[in-house]
Amino acid sequence: MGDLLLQVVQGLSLGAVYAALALALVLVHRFNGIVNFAQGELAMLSTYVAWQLLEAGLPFWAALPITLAVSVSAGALVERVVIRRVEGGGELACVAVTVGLMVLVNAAAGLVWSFAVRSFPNPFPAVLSFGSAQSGFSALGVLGVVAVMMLTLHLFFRHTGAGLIMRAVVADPVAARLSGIRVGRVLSLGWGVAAGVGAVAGILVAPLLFLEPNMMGGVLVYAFAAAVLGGFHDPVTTVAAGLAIGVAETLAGTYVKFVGADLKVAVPLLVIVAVLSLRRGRAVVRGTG
Amino acid sequence: MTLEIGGLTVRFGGVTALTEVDLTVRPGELVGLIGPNGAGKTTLFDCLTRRVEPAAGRMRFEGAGLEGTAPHEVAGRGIARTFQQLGLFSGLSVRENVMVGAHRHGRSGFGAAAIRPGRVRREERAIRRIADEALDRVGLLPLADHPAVHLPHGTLKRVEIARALAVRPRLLLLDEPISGLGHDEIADFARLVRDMHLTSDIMIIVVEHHMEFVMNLCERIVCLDSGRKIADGASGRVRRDPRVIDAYLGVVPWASPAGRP
Repeated sequence: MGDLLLQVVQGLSLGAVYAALALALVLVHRFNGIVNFAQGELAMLSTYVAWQLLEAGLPFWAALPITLAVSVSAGALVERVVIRRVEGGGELACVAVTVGLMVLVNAAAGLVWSFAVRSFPNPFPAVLSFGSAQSGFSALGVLGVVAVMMLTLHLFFRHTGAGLIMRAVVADPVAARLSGIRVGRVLSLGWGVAAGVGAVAGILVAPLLFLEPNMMGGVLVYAFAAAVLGGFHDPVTTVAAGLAIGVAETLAGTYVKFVGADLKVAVPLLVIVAVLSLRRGRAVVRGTG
Repeated sequence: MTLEIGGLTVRFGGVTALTEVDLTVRPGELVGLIGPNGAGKTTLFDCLTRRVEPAAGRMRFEGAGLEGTAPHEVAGRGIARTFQQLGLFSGLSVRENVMVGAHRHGRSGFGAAAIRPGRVRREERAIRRIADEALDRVGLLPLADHPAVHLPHGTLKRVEIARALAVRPRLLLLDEPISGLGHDEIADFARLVRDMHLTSDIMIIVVEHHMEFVMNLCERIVCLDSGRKIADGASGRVRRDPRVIDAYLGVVPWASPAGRP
């Protein structure tokens, strides 16, 4: 029984990482209607930034805010320099650009840091360091960090003037511009916030998956599954879906012999197909309004 | 301190939407802008709010040209507008919608929120106060916390007016404000616009098809037809102008109770 509980907690912590990256995807989609295939690679890049800072001797909890600041700036810069040029140029152009960005960032990271697999320190102290109890403890740490981040996002969007302006741009960019809002800046900031959220996902998952340029590929698939279940629109459903996928993946990998470690990645795909066929006839991906 | 438009011409591809339109509006004036569909009324508003680039002509507001103004700076110049279709932010409450209109009265940028939270909080309180004043003006303060959806159309139109007022404009452009409203709502709306007109120096231009509404409300009427100004003067004179009657295909639009030709 204790073993099952541990599996569930570990599933939830993996799910929290998927939920964070999925939330980044949903944020970008709500801001300018683009599905950002490069979201995972931007998170990987942020993780390398964090690793570089740790290598330079910074303590983890000092490296984290610096990494977040760098990630937010980088996300905003990508929107301003690359995405702004293709916005409104049709869905295919946007998909091609974000896929291109994904490949480019991946290759650039390989060029700078090589494709060697590196270990990434676990930020959570191993207080109860006997056997499985330690991994349970760090899983709770991951859950805690993601929960704090989501609460912060919620408070930011609901209770600050900047959050209000960002929600207004999401609801109606034309009316927002007419009310004196610099819509372009808000879109950049939206991409920045999404990149920051993705960075947290990357840093939290790095101790488990190890650091390498392809580390976020699998996570992106799970995050996509969660984002699709949330209609690329609804953050609450997206987060719930991310957690559920994490638990389903972990339990299926452990308890269903046929699935095992190799077929785990199929679980979210099955979930997507099942949900989409049940919802058939209803548009799942809603517009940005 | 006037709005002066001279020789304004707009072309969309081969179509000329506005041809050398002249118009001067003084503070405190309430002007009705009429004309058949496609006459260029909304295009004129789009020029003033910098959504459409004119091919020729000049627009001066309070002594300075509007041509170099970016769309997001229009509100800062003191110009606000409502849309034909409701342009409200649907995920936001009534008060939040109006606060977006008032936000330019805050000076702090995004970065300041992290560095000087005290000053930002004071500004946000000020923005909230401006929003509540505007809501009070249109009689919607009791509904401030309601989401800006699932309310009667006339109420949502008032929210849009409140958001425009929160900009503290000196020129207010109302694009078909009463389309889709019921009879009683139209009377209420006319009272609201007349009240704004009588209690402030604000310039108001109303585009409207509902002739009874616009003729009763505005002392001055401007009529556009196929992008040209064909009449400009006191409402009593414009309604008898043969060119205006012609523009509406000989139908005297204000003869029918529904008002629409």
